[in-house]
Amino acid sequence: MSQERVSNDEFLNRLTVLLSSTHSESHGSVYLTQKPLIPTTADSSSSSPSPPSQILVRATNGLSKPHRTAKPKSKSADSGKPKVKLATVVEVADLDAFYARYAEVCKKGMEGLRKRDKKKAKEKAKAKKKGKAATGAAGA
Amino acid sequence: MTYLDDLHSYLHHSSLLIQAYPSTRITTKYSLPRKPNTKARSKPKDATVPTTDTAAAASQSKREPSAVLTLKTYHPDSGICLKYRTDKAAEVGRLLGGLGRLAKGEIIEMPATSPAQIGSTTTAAEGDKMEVDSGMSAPKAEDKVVMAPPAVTQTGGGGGGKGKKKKGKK
Repeated sequence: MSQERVSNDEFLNRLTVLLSSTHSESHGSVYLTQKPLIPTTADSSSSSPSPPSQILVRATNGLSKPHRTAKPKSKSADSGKPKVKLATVVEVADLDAFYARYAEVCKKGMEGLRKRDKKKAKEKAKAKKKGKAATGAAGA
Repeated sequence: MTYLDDLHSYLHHSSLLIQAYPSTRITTKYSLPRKPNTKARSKPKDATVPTTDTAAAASQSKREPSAVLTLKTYHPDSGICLKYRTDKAAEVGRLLGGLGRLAKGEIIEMPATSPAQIGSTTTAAEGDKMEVDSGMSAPKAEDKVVMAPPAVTQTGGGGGGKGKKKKGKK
């Protein structure tokens, strides 16, 4: 059951590759999961609310394992992309450093999101001025 | 499954949930839009266009599809699920900063400048005005109306919202 865990550096490198490969396909998803790693031994009865010492971070492209895609048709539709699954454990002490780099990777990798729309911002500023003038007139 | 309509309230509520249940997990899904279907596009689409009456909705749909980032905070035992959806690249940095703090188990308070509009049906109209004034977030007025029903978790955020809002207006 235990899944292969890579080092933090390796994780970030492979996540960068995963994001860029997803982009080059111009289709698909990347799932990132984080959860505290709670030791299963002797902790099942007393769920202490103390902050955990390790965080498990996972990344996957959400595809099925090859042996589960039974039909060869569906395989060809997915262009035979393999399932990618990464996991790493981050110590709480390293969280800040890890998340700073993680954020950089995500910012660079998530290129498909909308950039700040400058034209719209201008329009908004205009509307703001107009709105303020209107309320000012109403107040006076 | 509750969609929260601003990032800070999502982080705030998630932090409360994580504090209550440390085994809560957070999933960030980055999904690219579907490939444009060339067959569907070749159809004459004039038939559907004239029915769009709200200008905002029309402009929203006309923009080319972008990737979407969906955040989900989920506690499997209780089934509590909080969600947030965005397509703004500018929010990724803030978001991951928030996720880092959530990973540490920090409590994220609602900031004074952002509108606290969770579970406040009465302030929905005011919220719209607020957005125009501050120019902080995208026009999502339709979402807000839909989202008006109270959120899963109860907080004091709604009460303190009024005073904070006035501050933001200046």
